[in-house]
Amino acid sequence: MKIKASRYEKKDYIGYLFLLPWIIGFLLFKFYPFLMSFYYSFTDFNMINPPELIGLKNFIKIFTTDADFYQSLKVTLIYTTFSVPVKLIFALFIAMVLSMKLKGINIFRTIYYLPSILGGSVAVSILWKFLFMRQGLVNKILSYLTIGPIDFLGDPDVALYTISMLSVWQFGSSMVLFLAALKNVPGELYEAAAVDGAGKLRTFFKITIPMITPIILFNLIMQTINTLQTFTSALVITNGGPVKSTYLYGMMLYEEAFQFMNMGYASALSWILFIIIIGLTAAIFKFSSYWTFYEDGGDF
Amino acid sequence: MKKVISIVLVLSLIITLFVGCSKDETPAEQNNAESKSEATKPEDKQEEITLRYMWWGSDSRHEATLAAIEKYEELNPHIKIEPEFSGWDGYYQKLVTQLAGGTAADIMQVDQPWLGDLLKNESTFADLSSVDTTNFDSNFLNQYCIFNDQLVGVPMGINGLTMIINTTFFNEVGIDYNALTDWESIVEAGKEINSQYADKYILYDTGMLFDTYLNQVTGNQLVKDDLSLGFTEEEVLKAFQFVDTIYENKVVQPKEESALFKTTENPSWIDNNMGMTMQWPSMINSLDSDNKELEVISIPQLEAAKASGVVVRPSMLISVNGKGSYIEESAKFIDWLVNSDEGILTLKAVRGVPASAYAQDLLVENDLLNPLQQKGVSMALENPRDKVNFYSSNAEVSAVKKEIIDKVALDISSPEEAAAEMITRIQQVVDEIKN
Repeated sequence: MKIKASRYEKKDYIGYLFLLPWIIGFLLFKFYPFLMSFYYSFTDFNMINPPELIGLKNFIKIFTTDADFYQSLKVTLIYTTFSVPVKLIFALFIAMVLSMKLKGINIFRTIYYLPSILGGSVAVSILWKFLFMRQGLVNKILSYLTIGPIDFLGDPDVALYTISMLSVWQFGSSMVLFLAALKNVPGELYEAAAVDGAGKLRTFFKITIPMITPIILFNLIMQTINTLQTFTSALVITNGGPVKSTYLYGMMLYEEAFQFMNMGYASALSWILFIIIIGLTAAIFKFSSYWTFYEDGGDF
Repeated sequence: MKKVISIVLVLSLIITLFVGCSKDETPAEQNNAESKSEATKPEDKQEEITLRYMWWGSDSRHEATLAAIEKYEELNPHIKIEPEFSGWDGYYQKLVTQLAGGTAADIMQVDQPWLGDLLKNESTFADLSSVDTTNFDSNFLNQYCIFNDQLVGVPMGINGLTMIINTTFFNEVGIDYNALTDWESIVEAGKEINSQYADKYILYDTGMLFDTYLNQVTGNQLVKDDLSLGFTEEEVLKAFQFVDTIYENKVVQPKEESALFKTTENPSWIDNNMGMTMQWPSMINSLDSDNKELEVISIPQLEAAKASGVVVRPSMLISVNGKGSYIEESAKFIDWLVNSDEGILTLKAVRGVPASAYAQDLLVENDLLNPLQQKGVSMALENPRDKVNFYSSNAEVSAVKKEIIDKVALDISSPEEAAAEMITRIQQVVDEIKN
């Protein structure tokens, strides 16, 4: 026994060595800034002078006097509640289509995954801006249908949804997961349902959906976490405007930190976002037991 | 054997990681390393020195500056200058982050309004008194570049607000732009033009109209030096009514369209659908294109204006990192850039009309100065307003102001609501600055 154990330890050791580059990177570039931001959130750090502790002042200001905080929170929540469900439904729909046995289906799968690779980049945000501006392609097409022009990005009531569409467009990673889940639904269930005379719709809601609920849950959580932190599109396309209608939380963080140089204040804001994300994730987990189904009994 | 291979693999991974890291090592450390080697070899006088020089700009500026660097390196073989250049977007954020992290370049291009924040730490910039400034207007230096008896930056150019005219536009619509010397006539002409051509707007609002108008109304700073507001509700109401008028009457392009674009990328300006814009003369080259002829006229005035609203200030400063290792060498380079014939002629007017009188003359002699730029600056200098103080150009004050202006432009707020909001919210920001 003893000899065996030590051999395992040795193997572990080599495993950790392999992990070391990542661990060092994580500690240096993620964990250390993470801890420091906690410290900074109680200071008045402005990047120019050394930070001074000011207690809870930042947090008090955020919750009591900062109207922008509530505005950005509101915008972010609308953005998330709109784009996450739409994105998941869209991803599931495309996954259903792509799970059919068609010729050359693999090529389609690759093509439909492409937007996810490009998705978060600045270049695509700029492309989005030029597609949706008043003289842009989308309005050109609409004009043939004698609609518009619509100020997709200049109208405060519309801009947020236009930006949400960019997030929806990056449905690829959720789609791939759905695709895998759909493949895993046992064929005999469908056969049995067909024998019992269940229609397509009924099969979908009574068999497909329940069987893939764990993946829906996973996608829901991952997308919620990601979406709450969206930044690039708001900065590049609309710069938070018009009149703060796309002032996402990430945008506010950036502005406080690098525009106004209130690094301490921005750190406090980021910790609040962190807590919101943890809270939401926990809530989703808690309520998931009501609607998720695990074949193996679900002890996870 | 397997074990050996895996250990080799792991080690090579780690080594590449560290090598990768050391490349990103902060230049300050590099400099330290170099200065150490300097200390060990005192007999070697012509020590290799590497200076980092960071600026923002467009291609013409990059090319001219790179050429100047090359010339200087030829003249001073022991000095190597590493250029770090980019566009305007994100430059300030990068600069501040680098200053905070101790990785800022030795020589930095700095915009004058930033000094209010950057000088909160006194050692941000080195004193450049060793640079010869005899050809610079001492009054100008005292106002904009000297703080606590230290010359924190040398002005690379003079900017003064002017009206830049697209004469192609005015020829097409058949209106004489020389008559547009006051706001009312611009509004009237603008209405007329837009009623005839739905896509054409006489004025291009790049965000500076409000300040200019307000300054003409009040004759004051937006936020005074004693941190009280430089305007009353009635006064700021007049400025918001002006904003309302120009948007209501389509004197300017609707905010819904213009909000997306930065000054020089607005398709309507490029396609000759906008007639005039209030801008810095240093922007003339970027606003120009083959399909248009530009001209400059002076800023329109309000009847009974209390001040001209014409801001005159350095287009940008060149400063030296106060924590850099080669302050003296950096200052020498700057001296060469702004004072030597060779430096001046290589740099040309890529940073606007030079602030040094000698450099201006030299460029004019050699036909290197855009006459429009020079005309714009000299017109602005005839009747400038007082210097915009740091509180008035504070980033948070500007952000609040812009938001409220946008609300009026988008018809979300009436001018009256905007005026009231302006008073309370600017006061809020000011109170925070006070603390």
